[in-house]
Amino acid sequence: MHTTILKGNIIHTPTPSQFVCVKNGYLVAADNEIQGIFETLPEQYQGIPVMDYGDQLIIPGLCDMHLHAPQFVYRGLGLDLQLMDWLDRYAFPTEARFQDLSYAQIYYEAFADALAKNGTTRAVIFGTIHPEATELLMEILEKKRIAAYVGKINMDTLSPDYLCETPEQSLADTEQWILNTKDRFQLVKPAITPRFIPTCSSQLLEGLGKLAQKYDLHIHSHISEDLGEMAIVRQRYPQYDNDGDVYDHFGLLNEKTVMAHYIYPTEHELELTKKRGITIAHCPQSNGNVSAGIPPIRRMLELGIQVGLGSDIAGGYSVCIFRAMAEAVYLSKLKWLVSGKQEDFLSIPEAFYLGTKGGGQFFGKVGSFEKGYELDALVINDQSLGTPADHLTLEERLERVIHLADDRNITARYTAGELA
Amino acid sequence: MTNYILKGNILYTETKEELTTVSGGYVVCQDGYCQGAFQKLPEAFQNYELLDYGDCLIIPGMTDLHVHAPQYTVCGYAMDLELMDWLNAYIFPEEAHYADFAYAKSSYSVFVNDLLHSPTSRLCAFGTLHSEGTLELMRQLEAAGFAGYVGKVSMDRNAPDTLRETHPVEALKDWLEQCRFPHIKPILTPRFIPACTDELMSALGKLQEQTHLPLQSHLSESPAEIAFVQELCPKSDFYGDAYDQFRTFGTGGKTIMAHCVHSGDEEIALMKERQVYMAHCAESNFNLSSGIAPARRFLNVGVPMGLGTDIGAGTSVSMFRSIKEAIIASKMYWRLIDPHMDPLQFSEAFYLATKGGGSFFGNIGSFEKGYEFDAVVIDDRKIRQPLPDKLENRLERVIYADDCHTVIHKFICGKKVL
Repeated sequence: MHTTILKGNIIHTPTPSQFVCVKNGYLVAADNEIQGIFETLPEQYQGIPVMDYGDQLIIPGLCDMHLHAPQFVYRGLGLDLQLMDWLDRYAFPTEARFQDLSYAQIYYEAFADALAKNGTTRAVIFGTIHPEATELLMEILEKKRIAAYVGKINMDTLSPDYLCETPEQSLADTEQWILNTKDRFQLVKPAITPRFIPTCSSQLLEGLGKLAQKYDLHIHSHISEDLGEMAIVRQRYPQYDNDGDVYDHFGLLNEKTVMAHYIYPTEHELELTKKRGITIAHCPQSNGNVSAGIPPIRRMLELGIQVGLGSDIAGGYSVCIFRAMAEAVYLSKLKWLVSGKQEDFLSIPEAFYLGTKGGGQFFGKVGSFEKGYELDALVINDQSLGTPADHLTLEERLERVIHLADDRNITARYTAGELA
Repeated sequence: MTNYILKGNILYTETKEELTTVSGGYVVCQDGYCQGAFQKLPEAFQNYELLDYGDCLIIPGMTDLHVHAPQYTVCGYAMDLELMDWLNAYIFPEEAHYADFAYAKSSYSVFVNDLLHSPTSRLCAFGTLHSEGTLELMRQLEAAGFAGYVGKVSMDRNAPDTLRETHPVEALKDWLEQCRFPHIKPILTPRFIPACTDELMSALGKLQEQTHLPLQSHLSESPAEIAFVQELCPKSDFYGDAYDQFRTFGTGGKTIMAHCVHSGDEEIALMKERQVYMAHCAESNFNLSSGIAPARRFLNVGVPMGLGTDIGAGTSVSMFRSIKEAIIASKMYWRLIDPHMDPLQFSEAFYLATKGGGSFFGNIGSFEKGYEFDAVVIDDRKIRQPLPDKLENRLERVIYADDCHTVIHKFICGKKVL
């Protein structure tokens, strides 16, 4: 057994209501299992080397619950377009290029480097329809120690010819890809990933539900993001008045499911979400960029729905989950205002919780430093952030990191017990 | 180096509707003024020194039309309150520290250094009410090569004792006499009506009419603030009218009002009539739950307008960030508040950050002939994504991917500062 001891200013959110801070404390893990946080090092650990990070902050690793790896290629482009135009002009033509493995190699490397540098230790990721390129993405993530659920996308209708599968081929390719990858990696696993309801026939969705069950896999898709998208779903499934029931009909909603966006959930859908135990990936930057709207996050939290944060590259342009935390807060303030101050906006500890433990629970015991949790941790040097930190509390220093820090402030990253 | 040429991919906005691009082109600086952007170098400039920036992008310097330099020290935390409570809880106590000259000097050096690596070339900044500290800010900005206006803040009520002047007009005049910097000029800076007595406001109005100094302040930012102004100035029809009754709303000289989130039709019409600048600070308006300023309405009416970072309610000194936030805010306004107000196009937001705000200083923020020469050189090879074909797309990507630290050189008033 290997014991890891990190020393520094330790901050985490076991609950969303407040930061728990230990100044100059010790975080101890045995292999990948956290033993606790201590103000003085217990007798039994004396003599074990300590990684002393001095006055730096030590926080749980960041969890990005929704992003598209191939779209990293064109992040920051076309953001004055509406969703459907943007897909046609940028998303689909770019994704098609990932059939070429040498192209995929270059840009999936760049993508994974950006996640690593920005402190993302866990992620739930869309690839493309191409099984080989998606397997390559998984290899690269594993090599860089980013723990992830990765999806080969499925799409067989309402898609451009060059990205349109037949349902039979899509299901056969997916099953073969699952067999190739499900036991191949330590940190990276396949997830069933229908693009979204409009681009998947009912035959395909039904088959994917069965594959998810057969191999006991995680599931990742989009839900209720855009009024245009929702109108297509209503027309195709007139018996349902929401996206959730459609996914549920095909067996795609359970505690292993993460769904992105959820801007317009119905009351019934929220109850279903709670009942099935699915996780919602809130992607504030993307919701702003594509003019989608603001999801009722406060309401979901009150109902006890699991919520994490997503960068949604390239609907979002920044892979940094600190940025997602800041934007989740400010969009919630806007929602608070336009709703006549009915629903309280998110506090900073709540936003931090969403970006760590809120998403982390999807991976098991991840995103907190409580006993028994996995050791995902970031070490943050905030010396460069303006004023000297000596007159700030640890809570204020972390809040400032959330708003101002970038990759240059992250000095070390541990994923699943190991320094990356 | 008074006459020289920059070579690279040139982008600027003559009008807000479109970006002008010159691939592999030349911009010429002669005695601090731009002679134009050219695809082929005119004969007349053949023997000027050539600075070849290869495949880099070259854009005009940007103008930050509203920024509080002393608040850089509290940037990035304590934003859980709305404006009035936020000022009392966090901002006033921090600004009081600037009575200590050593604190002011070291804090301002952090701000100026970060600003140097940003795309900003011009700014309209608030200092604090402290004359010495504010002069130090001006000295540092001048030394770093910036141009713009800095204001010693005037305030004499509704603030803690340490931030309430007893002889505000004398203090202001005393400070004005010490402002002797070639590029960093003084600007009258009443904090806002809640913090300035009627006597002070009237004196500032009179002073502006005598001196024609420019003036900057805040307007219609937050509902509680607006209600308070109505209480303090019961004879005013609206917040802007209160400024107008003190003759500080564009009658005596150039004027900037920051925020204007809740401005009504009358206020907007008066701003247009007086050519009062609207400084749009979208990120700040999000962070303090102020709301969304209707940028499209101001553009439609023809109010002059630029963008501000509003440090410290905004969190980034980078105008790239201000551009993005203005676009996102306009999308949210369109989606949540008024579907008739189209979101800002990329070129429009870029224009506001360059020529729109720059026009407050004169001919600034473009590469047209006769403009003062402010330029920023950007190396986008640091972004590990394939290069888009079009220059417009490369610029858009640089502005969104602001985590890539792409600004490598900067010229202000014809002088290389970075």
